[in-house]
Amino acid sequence: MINIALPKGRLGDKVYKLFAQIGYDCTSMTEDNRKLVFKSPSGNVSYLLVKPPDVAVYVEHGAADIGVVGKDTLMETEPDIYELLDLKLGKCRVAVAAPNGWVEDMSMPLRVATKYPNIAQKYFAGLNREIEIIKFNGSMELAPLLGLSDVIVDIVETGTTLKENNMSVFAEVALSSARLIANKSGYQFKKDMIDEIVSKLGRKI
Amino acid sequence: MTIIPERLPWEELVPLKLRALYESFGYKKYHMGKFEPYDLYRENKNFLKSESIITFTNANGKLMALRPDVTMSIVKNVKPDVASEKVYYTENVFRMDSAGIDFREINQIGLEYIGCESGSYAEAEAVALAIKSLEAISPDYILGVSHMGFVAAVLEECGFSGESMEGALRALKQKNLHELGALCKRAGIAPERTERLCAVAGISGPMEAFLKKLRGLPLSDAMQTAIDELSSLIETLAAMGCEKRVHLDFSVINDLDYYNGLVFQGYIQKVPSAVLAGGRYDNLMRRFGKAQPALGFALYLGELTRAFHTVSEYDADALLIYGDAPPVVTARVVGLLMNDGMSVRAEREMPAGLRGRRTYLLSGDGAIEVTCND
Repeated sequence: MINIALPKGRLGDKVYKLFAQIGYDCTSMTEDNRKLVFKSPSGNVSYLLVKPPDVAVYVEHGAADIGVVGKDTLMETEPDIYELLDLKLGKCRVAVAAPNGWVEDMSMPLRVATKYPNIAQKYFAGLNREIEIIKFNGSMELAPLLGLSDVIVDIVETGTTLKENNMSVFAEVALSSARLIANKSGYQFKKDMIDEIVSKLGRKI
Repeated sequence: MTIIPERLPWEELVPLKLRALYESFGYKKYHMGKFEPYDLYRENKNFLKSESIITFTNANGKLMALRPDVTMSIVKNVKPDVASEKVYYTENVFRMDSAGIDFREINQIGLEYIGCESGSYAEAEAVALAIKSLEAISPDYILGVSHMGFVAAVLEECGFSGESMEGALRALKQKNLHELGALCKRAGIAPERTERLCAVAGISGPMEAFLKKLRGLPLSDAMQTAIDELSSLIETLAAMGCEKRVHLDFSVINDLDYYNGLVFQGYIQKVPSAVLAGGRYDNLMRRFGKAQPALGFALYLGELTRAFHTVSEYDADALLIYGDAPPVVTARVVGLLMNDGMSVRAEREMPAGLRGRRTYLLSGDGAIEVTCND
């Protein structure tokens, strides 16, 4: 019996299909309902559908043995887990973006609006650049437009949102994609099952 | 009055079991005060799990710390002429909680063997005590063992050093083999070398079987010495009958500045994080100017208590409601019930929310009405 935490949304749906293909299907997942915990009738798997950044929390605390979460979240929260596979889905980049034509003023600390304060802190510390962080939960493009910050640190997929807001990527911080993570203790006791999942998924991607 | 161990709450029973275990191997209890000079930790913060330390200024104006760790205090006090010191402790330490939000007082039980030489019976005994400690808590445990000397040698041979070594160790710690492969590629390491590194790094399973696999590979002197130590260890553990749940697991990583040899972590099923951690810390001893080798481990009871703590269904075996009964009669009834081995909670009126295995209602004329609640 394995407990899997999946992110709610498109990525979770895609990943569930992969799991279903390798023998961990659970038909109640595909029904349109508000449930968050799903037990397969065969009893070999149960799924938790949670907010994407929370997948790592459930896995780290053992509520789920394994889960799928973006590398951006892992870099931000740094949970104590095993990262077993890059699913190569949900590919995007974490980047510094600024309004088009923006010129950096090196005589002032850089004001950064971001959902990723830890990533931003580490990245700019590596450049020895002093920054001030304003933490947001979404739609960070507004911040530089309203003069709240100079730049944003956010994930960029196609770049359309930035373009539509007259912004562009200033610097790339890291690549991100969906990763399969495992609880360290759970892995010890369910190693064979988890290794098999990793191997089967590895062949599908 | 007899003391009944089974009645003790889990978090009091286990420390008693562990104390008995360590004393049976001749370890002596170590006790220390809660305060240490902050200077003790300042130079060696990476040895601690977290950099955050509670500090205060004592009456003499000296900067003190509420100890975050016991090992360093033991190491600090090791005398040069001491060949062997076997101590255990059960002390509270003050650390940042795992969420990094605030400080907490954590009960830690640990053991230090100063003078424990590598590849010897001494090393096997210390590891056996770690295994027996886990066994005392639950039969469903796994001890993951690694060797920092071996890991460092393997990575150095591939060409990792300094910052790239740190990155490789981080990936290894997370069993992140794809990241390790990417780091190898970035460092320009040949694909065959990368493949071999990932094969070794990915080893995680019963020790005897996997040591056999390693012996077949080309090994440098440093690696061979480490493998020989591990072989000697598992052989002695088998002689002691505790080898069955010992795994070779190279994702067990401790700071190379302090840990130069054997390292291990203990897991218990249903407890989400490691409950025991330890290893050989000769390097820490050198940093404190001590010549002896040393090995130790600690158990983190906080994690365990949450998993094993049971709430008693009843507040007492007998709930005695004495109302208007004469005090002398009440006292006699309490005495009689206690002689039968029951715990008795006597109250004048039925209190809200209290449950007794049996309820005894004492009336004014001495009659008793009994209700069984279990």
